[in-house]
Amino acid sequence: MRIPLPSLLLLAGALHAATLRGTVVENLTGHPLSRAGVLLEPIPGSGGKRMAGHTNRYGMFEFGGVTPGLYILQATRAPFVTAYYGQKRWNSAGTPLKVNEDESPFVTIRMMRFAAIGGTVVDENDVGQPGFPVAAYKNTRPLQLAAQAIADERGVYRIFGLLPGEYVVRSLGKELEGTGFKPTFAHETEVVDEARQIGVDIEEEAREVKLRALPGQLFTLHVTAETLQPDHAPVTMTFVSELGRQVVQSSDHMFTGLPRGDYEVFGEAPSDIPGVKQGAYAYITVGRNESAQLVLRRMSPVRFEFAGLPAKTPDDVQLFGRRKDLAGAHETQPIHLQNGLATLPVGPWEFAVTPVDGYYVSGFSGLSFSTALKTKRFDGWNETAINNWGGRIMFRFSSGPGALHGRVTDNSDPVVGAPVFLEPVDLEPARRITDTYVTITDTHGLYRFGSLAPGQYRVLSSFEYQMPDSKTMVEARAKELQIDAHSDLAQDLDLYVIR
Amino acid sequence: MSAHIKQTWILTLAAGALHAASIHGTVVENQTGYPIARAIVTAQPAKAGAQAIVIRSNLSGIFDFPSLPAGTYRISAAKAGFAPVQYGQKRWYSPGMPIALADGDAADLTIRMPRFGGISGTLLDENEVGLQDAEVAVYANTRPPRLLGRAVTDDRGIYRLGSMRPGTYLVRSIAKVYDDETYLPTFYRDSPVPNESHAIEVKFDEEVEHMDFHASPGRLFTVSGEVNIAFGRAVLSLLSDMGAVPATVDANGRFTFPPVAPGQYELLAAIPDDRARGRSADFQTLTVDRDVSVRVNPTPLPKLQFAFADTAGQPLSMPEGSVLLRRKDPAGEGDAVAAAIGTGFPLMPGRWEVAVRPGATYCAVGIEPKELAGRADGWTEILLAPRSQTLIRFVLSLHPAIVGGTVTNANGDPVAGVPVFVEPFDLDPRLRIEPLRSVTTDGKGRYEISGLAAGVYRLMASFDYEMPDASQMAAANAKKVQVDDGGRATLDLQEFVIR
Repeated sequence: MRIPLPSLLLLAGALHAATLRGTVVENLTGHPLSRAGVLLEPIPGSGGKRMAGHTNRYGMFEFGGVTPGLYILQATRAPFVTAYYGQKRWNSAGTPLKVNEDESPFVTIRMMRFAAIGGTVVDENDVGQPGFPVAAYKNTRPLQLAAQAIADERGVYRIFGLLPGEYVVRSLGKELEGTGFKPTFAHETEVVDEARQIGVDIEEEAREVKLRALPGQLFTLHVTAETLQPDHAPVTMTFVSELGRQVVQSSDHMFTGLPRGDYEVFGEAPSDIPGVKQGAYAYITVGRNESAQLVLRRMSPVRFEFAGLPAKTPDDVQLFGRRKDLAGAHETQPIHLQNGLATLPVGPWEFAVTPVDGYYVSGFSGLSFSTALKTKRFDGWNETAINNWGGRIMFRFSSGPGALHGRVTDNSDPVVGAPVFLEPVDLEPARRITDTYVTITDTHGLYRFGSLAPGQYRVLSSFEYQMPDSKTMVEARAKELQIDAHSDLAQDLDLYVIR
Repeated sequence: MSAHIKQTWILTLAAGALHAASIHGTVVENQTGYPIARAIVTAQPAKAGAQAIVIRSNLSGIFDFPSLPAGTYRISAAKAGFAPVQYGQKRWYSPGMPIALADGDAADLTIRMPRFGGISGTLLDENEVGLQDAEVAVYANTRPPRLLGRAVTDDRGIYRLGSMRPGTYLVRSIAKVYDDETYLPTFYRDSPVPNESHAIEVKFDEEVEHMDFHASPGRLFTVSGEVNIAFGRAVLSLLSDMGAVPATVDANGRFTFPPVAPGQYELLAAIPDDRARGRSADFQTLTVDRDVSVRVNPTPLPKLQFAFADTAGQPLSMPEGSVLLRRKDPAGEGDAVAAAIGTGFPLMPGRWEVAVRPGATYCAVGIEPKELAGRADGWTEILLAPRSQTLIRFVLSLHPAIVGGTVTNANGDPVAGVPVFVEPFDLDPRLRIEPLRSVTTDGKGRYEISGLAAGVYRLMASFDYEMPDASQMAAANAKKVQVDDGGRATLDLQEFVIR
């Protein structure tokens, strides 16, 4: 009997394929985790293919027909920290899993829970106070809001979903039974530098963090909104402070219980043109009871231009935007252009583009208070403000980006599947699209980064981290490099290991 | 002002100050004894028509009524996060002890405020892992259970239901979808039905912890369809004994509810801004035992009208507010409101309950149409179909029954000022307009309750309760009496005292 060639190839593949089985469990209890996402990612050059699945009701997963090779195995499930096979600590990179032909390895991935901070909001007599919003901030300057909670009727709060690190917690402004309470850091201060610093580790819960809210004057802000095209359209107001956002469906609203400080109000309403909204934006400093009026006008489209690219390439540019306000940056969203135009809500925005092969972003000009005034690098987020009158936003591209390549070794042996981190040092952290660029070494220990904007970088290879921050890169003595346009720098690296 | 008049005026004031009575004291947290600042403290004079005096405790929890006219006062305290209390309560459900003050008397009180009760526990999956972001509902332990509130589980699957009065409650998880895994509503502890569930007893100042239970995996179904939006934006709700769930409705009127457990549902659709016809709505009852598709067609609201007649059939005119109305859905009954009398008025379609507000000179003895179930002196359920016009006629007796008698103590002496509670014993508790009526005995221990419909009543006289429930009436051996229309019954009572 003759067997057709395709069938023979299939048969050969089946003979050599392996089966990978495993279980995902909760780290603290060992209980199986159902519904965990499991991803098997081949290391470049190892020849395998990407496979994804979920654990079953008993926490088990199975990948059949796995091509022999080297893989990174990852598990995800809310509310656990993403876990990798072979990782040393919660924030270490996974180590490659070797799958040999005709083998059926069985692996266990342990998933860890996030950290939490809990305590009580109390009054002058240590009596729990109900209903206070409480926020946890990363202990950076400026503070970064991490998560919030509301104290229950006993004054007890618990803020969860925190990564390990150092935090400060603060009760937010609130009026309770005729008395105003100012935002107050634990234990009892308005000054961030005097706040209690709370360190939490993975799966750890800091308990009994007491917050004594300080009485003080709070203010009101009365906002009225008028729509013009047409008038009396239903208005949605978004009220923003550094503590978060509040949305109301009204053209006349009194925001109450406000501590002294800066606020933003965004108004949006449908207009007489389907699909186009009316909008307005105001930045208000509150130091007494204030009132403000928003006049909502139809939003005009903004023209985006990509200069310096060959005529047909602009269609390949992927443009991303995110709104920015006092509460931080919103979710990143792709901006879809129609004939180069997009209609966007008014207010502060940041825009970025993905690299185009053979080019890098070398310039940006926006509509107002543009990033262009403050920086030399434009390959990250670029800030500008969108107004009702449209205008032009331009990204400038230059040809001849830089590149970096090399080999990662450990005791002179090439290291396969090792993460390599590249940090753009002269791009402010808040403007980076990602903290660091990451790639992994191939089966020969080789790595490569392309389409890099000229500038200063730090490079490090290590299994110890998933995404090291600047401080960690410095501590790990990451190599500092200058990458120039039109260059392809060679830099071999020793694998960094914490002994 | 002459010197003589001025001197007399000052003397009068001084005499007043010298003779005035006073009440002062401290409000403290019951468990810790910590002073409670800013509690609202009320002195309610027993004298009919006298105005209550309301103050706040100071930062040390101290309150002071410095110059009160001689008399009898009830002192109560309220504070957010605490159960309201009256001074001298024997138990949480007992009335407070009045304080009698002669001129120049000064009372020094300590008011202890308890915290509400709470229930907490973990909602677990099949592997004993907590389910995050799941809703847990609490019900009064009645049949059918009456929905009281909901909570959401945290990252550990822990729920907490707070602000609860003492009583017995049922706890139930709400249907939930996680990726491809679905969970059915499940009562604590692991039961699909209330009759096999465990009731949880809650007391003030107590947290019932570790009420852990498992959500049962099972199939959920979708309810979706299309709503006619020719006349405006539609708001759709799916009502069940777990409360109301909103639908997402797209611009073409296609709607979907989140997946639901099998069972009986009511679908309510409302167009609040029907430009052509005013408000319009639709109401349908659904049995969900598979995926259900529904066509919803809002029409103008149904109209309801009331009329009144005496027992001879002669029309009567009644004042505004004589009829009470409340919405009914599978989660229980809404709050009663006074209905308009006279011309028909529009209401949302669906189930409603109507009743005649009890009066001293009349009582309801009949209701038409005759096919309506229920007793005229209680709540009667009606179904308002879309676009319908309904006329409800109440037949009133102008000669209601009276029960009266004397209350004596264990020594046979008449008891003045004791509350006498009257319970309509042969009327289903769910249909009672008021759970109980109460009057207070006069100086000779006599009481009289008028405006009663014919039926069997249970009576008790006691200082130990503010509003006893049926089980407390039974425990106190409340006396039964039957009255006929227009009849008068005499029932002497002995004061009930909890020993």
